[in-house]
Amino acid sequence: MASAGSGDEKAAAAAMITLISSDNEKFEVTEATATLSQTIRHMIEDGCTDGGVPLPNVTSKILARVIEYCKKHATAAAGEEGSSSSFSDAAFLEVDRAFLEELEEFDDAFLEVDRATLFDLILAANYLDIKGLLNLTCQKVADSVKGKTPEQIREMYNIVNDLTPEEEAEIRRETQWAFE
Amino acid sequence: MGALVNLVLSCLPHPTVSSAATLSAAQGAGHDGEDRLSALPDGLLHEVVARLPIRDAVRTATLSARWRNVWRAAPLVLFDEHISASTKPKHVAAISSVLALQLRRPRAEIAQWTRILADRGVENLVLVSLPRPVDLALPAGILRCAKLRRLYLGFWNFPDTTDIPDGVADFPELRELAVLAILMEDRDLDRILASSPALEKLALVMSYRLPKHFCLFGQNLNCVIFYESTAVEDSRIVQGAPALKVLGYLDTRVHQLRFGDNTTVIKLQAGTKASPICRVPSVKILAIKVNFNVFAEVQILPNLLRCFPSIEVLHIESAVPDASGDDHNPEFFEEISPIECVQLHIKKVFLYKFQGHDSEMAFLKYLVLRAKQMQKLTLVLPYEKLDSEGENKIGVVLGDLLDLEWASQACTVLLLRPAAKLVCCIHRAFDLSIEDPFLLNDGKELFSVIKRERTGCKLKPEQHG
Repeated sequence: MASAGSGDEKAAAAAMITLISSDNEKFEVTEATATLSQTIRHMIEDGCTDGGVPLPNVTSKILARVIEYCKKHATAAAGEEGSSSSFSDAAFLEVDRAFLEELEEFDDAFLEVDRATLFDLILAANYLDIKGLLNLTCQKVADSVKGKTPEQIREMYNIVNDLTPEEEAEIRRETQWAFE
Repeated sequence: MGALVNLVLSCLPHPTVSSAATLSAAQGAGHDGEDRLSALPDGLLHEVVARLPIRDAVRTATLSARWRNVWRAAPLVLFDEHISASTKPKHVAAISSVLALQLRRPRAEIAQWTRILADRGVENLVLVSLPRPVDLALPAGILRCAKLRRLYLGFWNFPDTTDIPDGVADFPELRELAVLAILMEDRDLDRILASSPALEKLALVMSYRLPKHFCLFGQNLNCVIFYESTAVEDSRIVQGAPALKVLGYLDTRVHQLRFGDNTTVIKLQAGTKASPICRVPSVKILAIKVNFNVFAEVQILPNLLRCFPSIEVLHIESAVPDASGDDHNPEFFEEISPIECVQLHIKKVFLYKFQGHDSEMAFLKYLVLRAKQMQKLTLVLPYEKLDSEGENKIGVVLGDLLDLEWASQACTVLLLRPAAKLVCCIHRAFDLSIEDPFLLNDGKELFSVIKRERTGCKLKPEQHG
């Protein structure tokens, strides 16, 4: 038992990756967590992660949040694999549902951030190529726009309307139905 | 009429975009006057706009000069229920304006829609003709949508594929095809299936007249669903669907199975000796409809099961009894030779509209005496409430069944009352994460017992209302 345990520890230690933020802070994460980022996955595959992975576009504050997201979703992915069965039965469906609900709650709480952080997360998710996080953050922005008038959206996001009245009228004419 | 429309509508995928916000609104903090949103690169603005209902997406064009062309360059996500125009012509005009602007054309007439979608490389398309007209022709532009990954068609007359040029009607990316109440010649469906090498899921719903015969063909085809497809008299399984795992509902009354290729075809019927060509060992989940009152249908059952030697889950819908008489032969199942899937593989059996009919019981008896791997037998009563005589009968026949010496070491027996009418299972079938599309986990449990091997089980079913 003891030798098997130390073997596991070694394997786990070998699978740790160091991520370095733009302000030079180091984060140790498991490979499973790091590889939710396709960008980092490719770096690992190319064998260029020795001495840490510098991420010059991501601050330590944002990187910490991104890692929090990846840790949670990496566990979820591992859990799904573990519970997979050749027969989906009511019981399994129940487990999956509870799991998904928990993940949804996590995502909802995760997005309770100010707008500046939200945009930083979008840019980080895009740069690191983390599909789930990009979906989530873009959905958050889209939801904030739904059902709002152009004036409301401009005010919310500080958008300056530089269209001439003629241009704006032309656009409205092209798709009149959307403004009725 | 309304029921047909509802059935087709129930098969359609849910919109991926909703007009209601799914996430709580973003916090207002960060009012530093900076426009972080417009500063995002185009690709990310497209990601945002593609998550908006079309009405909101279109309106972003008036935000500023930066936004004018953003929605037009973003992937078009159009669910026409989000247009909510006041009249039908306005509704059509709105779709036309969206499609015209997408292609920077002055106009887009309704007949050109499919062509425009083809030019834009449409990947997911749900096109249902409503209110249900009579044989409205589906524009042939549909055959040029070569980038399609998912296609649902409802209530159309499918275009003729006989004289189309090469390179048209090729769907190299198509994964899901749902043909819902479509009038389609046999050759046209054959052509589409033959030119969709990546096809994984096929649903054929309410094909009352055509297509009549067709070949199930495709290296990647793993799930085929027929639903209310009474006109399919002859579904031919070519040995070219090696991945086929889920198949149903086969109806022993109207469907005939043929096996082989065009040169050697063996028709499945009662009494045919199982030929190696009639074996589809990939199928694990099979759903069939049998009228247990008609002996000719019951006779086909063993041979049908022999064609699918690896079935693990069997769903049987006991069809509504036919007035054509009760010519059942109680000794039939005692005389037949072994069926491979029953002896070796069947783990779960579901019998829907179970009425305790002699012929149903003869089949169940055959199963439980031989199915060594059986873990679960689920019997679901018909929708209509049984009278007390019917309930007593079920109690007696179940008691008799449980008195037998079952082949399986331990098998859970469930008697259910259905919670709702059988719903079309296309959603479940096309959701890759769900193993068994025919499994309906609803229904009120009336009785449950674990039957252990070789132990007499004298428990009479309890009826809880």
